Amino acid sequence: MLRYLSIRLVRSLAVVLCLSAIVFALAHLVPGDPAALIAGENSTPQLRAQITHQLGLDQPVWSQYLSWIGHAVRGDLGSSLLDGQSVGAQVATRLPVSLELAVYAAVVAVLWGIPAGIWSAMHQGHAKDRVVNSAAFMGLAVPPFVVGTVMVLLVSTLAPAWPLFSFVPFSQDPLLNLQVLLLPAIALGIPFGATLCRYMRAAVLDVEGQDFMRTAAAKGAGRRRLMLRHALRNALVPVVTAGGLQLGVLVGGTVIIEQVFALPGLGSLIVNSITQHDFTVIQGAILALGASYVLINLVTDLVYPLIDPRIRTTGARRDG
Amino acid sequence: MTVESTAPAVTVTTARRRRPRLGWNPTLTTGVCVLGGMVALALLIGAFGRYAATDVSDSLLTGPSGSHWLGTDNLGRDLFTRTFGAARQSLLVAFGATTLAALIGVPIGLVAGYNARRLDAVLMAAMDTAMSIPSVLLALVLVSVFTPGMWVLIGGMGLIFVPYFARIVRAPALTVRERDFVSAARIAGVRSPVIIVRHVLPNVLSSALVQYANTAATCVLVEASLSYLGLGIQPPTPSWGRMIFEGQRYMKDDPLLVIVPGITLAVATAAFGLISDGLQEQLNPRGKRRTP
Repeated sequence: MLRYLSIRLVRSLAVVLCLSAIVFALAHLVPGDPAALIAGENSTPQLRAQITHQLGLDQPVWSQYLSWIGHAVRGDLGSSLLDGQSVGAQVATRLPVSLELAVYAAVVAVLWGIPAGIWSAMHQGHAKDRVVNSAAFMGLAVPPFVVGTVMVLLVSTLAPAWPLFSFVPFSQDPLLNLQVLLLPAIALGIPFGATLCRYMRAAVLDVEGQDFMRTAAAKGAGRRRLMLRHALRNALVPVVTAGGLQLGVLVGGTVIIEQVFALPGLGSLIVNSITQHDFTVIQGAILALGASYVLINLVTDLVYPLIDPRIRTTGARRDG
Repeated sequence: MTVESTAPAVTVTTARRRRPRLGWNPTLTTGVCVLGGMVALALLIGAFGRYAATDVSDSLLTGPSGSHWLGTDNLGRDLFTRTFGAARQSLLVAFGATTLAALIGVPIGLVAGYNARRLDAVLMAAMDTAMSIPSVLLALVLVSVFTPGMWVLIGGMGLIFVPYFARIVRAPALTVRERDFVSAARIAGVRSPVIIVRHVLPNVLSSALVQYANTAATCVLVEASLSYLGLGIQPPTPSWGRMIFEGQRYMKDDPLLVIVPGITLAVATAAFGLISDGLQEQLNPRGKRRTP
């Protein structure tokens, strides 16, 4: 168990470091002089040199990286090139919105995807199975931002009273907050749920053919007990693996969906800063979003030992 | 169900079983036909279309008519022409990026799988790390540095999807490595690069082919998403994502502006999805589906 945990932890750290290096390299790949960007096109060379020195850009690259990462660990992500606002503060207000949306969408996805997958597997080959399969297939093909746009169109004509673009923080009005985020969460939850549904169906079918299922049935376990107690527990392991891998798609999806529904999350911050070439904000926001994704993944890794007791004893992981 | 009705079906299947690889596969056929149709339309409309995708006119937001089959947008551009002009951009990016990813990823996977041990461990650790970062985030990093456009999309997404090919190819390469014909070749003194190309490569092609279809579908979606954000194909060149973004403001007057590119985009990804599913049925009939 300890071995399993430490491997996961080291891997997550490696991923975050790798991402930080990529994000850091970003500022150095940018054509042009950041100092000129801050000071303006018509600034004097002295002023530029002074800014370069202030930003530490005259130091060797590795020492710049170390100092940047050292500050980032302490929550100091620098300040915006455009308005001088603290990047850390902006990230801190926007990250919760993105995370809430991602979690909300994951809940929506699990609520429809897992039961649909089980139901479809239990009716394998029948019309019900085909309907669920086609629905899941279409759910994967239509991108969330298209679903979101069509939902905005439908809701604004059919139910004009529905709060569409008026985001309210959860702490202020939980009910309204959940209502505003419902449509974005559904738009994101459809494809993620479709993925879960397809994996769940395959996993249940896989487990159903195994010997211990026949043994359990022979011992007189009912259909419901057979499914819940014996099949699901085994089928869930590969689904959690696959779902964990797909979380990245969900995080990427929030970036786009926030733009569709005008939500004040990290994604819209990233997109706006890219169009304005505000590199410190891009760096900080992408690093924060990536790091939180790695953290979510680490949490799903901790769920494994709960489902699969073999991990608790051997530390090995059976990937689906 | 009567015996008479099943009997011919049985003979047909046994007749087919002799050459299973050429059997009728509706999923694959539908996917290929839809995709082929889209490619054909995209090419034909560029060569023979009445309008160009960037032609502006005075007839704004007309709705479907004889001269504009699906109507015009807010600048008077023909929606039908733009939709299939966008198909050309999207499919070029999808095929370009996926081919690039396959050309780099497959050799990495082959070498890692065939050499096993240390090189394998190092390469796969690097691939896993790269895959642990959401691809949209990597794409955003790239478009924030380089001016977005088709070549940046092809190059960037091509690199981002390299690990997916390396991973998918490595697994069969590992098993083939242990097979007798590979050992025989090795004992006969055939050099490793030759073994990899002659004996290992043919055995991993089916996995790579399925991955090709999956990655192409993802590329279509990522390109559309980036273009929607204004960070992909740049206007006035048509792209589904940007058309949907621009159509949003006028969608109460003319919902087709959003619905037509949305549906075509879905049809394109669905076609790649069908091809992927069909290939899996064809190449691996009993096996589990690896990626949905």
